[in-house]
Amino acid sequence: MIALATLLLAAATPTPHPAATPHPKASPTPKATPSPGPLTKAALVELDHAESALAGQWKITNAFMAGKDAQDQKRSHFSYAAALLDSQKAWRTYRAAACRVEGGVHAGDVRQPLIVAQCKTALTNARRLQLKGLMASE
Amino acid sequence: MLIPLLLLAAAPVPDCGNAQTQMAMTECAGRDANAADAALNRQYAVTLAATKRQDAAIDRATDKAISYSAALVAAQRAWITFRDAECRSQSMEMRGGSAQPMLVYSCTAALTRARTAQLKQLVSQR
Repeated sequence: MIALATLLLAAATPTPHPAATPHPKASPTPKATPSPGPLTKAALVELDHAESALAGQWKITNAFMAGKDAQDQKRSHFSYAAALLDSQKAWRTYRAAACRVEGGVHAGDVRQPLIVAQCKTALTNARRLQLKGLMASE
Repeated sequence: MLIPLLLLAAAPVPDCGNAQTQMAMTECAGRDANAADAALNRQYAVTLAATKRQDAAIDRATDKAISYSAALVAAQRAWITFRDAECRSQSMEMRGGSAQPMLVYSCTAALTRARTAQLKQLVSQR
């Protein structure tokens, strides 16, 4: 249980992805431009990869939970897969709201889309590990 | 939520470093979750105050977007919904059993501490 809790804590902590584009913190705030710059483009590609990896893990974990439902001898109205889906929907809403706040720190700044993309990537990677951990704990 | 808290407050403090029974382990997990929740509430107040200071700088003549503090409140509500759904999902294995509350408390404590770290990071960015 302690190991699970530690794993979840580590997984849920929004540490930046190692491969994420570095945050240009030291540079002065540039003026907003209509098209994303190279850093933002790279961050969006990183987010796409994270989303794909999450989708792959979702299929595995969801199938795992569906298997548990099929084996459930209690025949109760509870469903592992349904509970997982509820949580995943709630996580999506949470991610959008949380990253909106992080982006708000840089409102009006050309870096805002970059910060939001990096935030989503970090939370997405954490969620992927969390979904994986749900099976490892069984 | 109130009744479990009252029960926890009334019960003698177990040796949480060496809890042997399910009841003691559940109680210790509950105390840990409450401690994590208290720390979250303290950090949330700090972060919310920071966003309200930032709101004061918004020029409402030109900026009609959601305020920083309103965005934070919305994010926190969304997180609570996620936390509850996630911990319900994680504790299903023990549903109806004596260990289920302990699993919920452990899950809640872990997610709460992670969220507290996020809220702290938001302040350091401002």
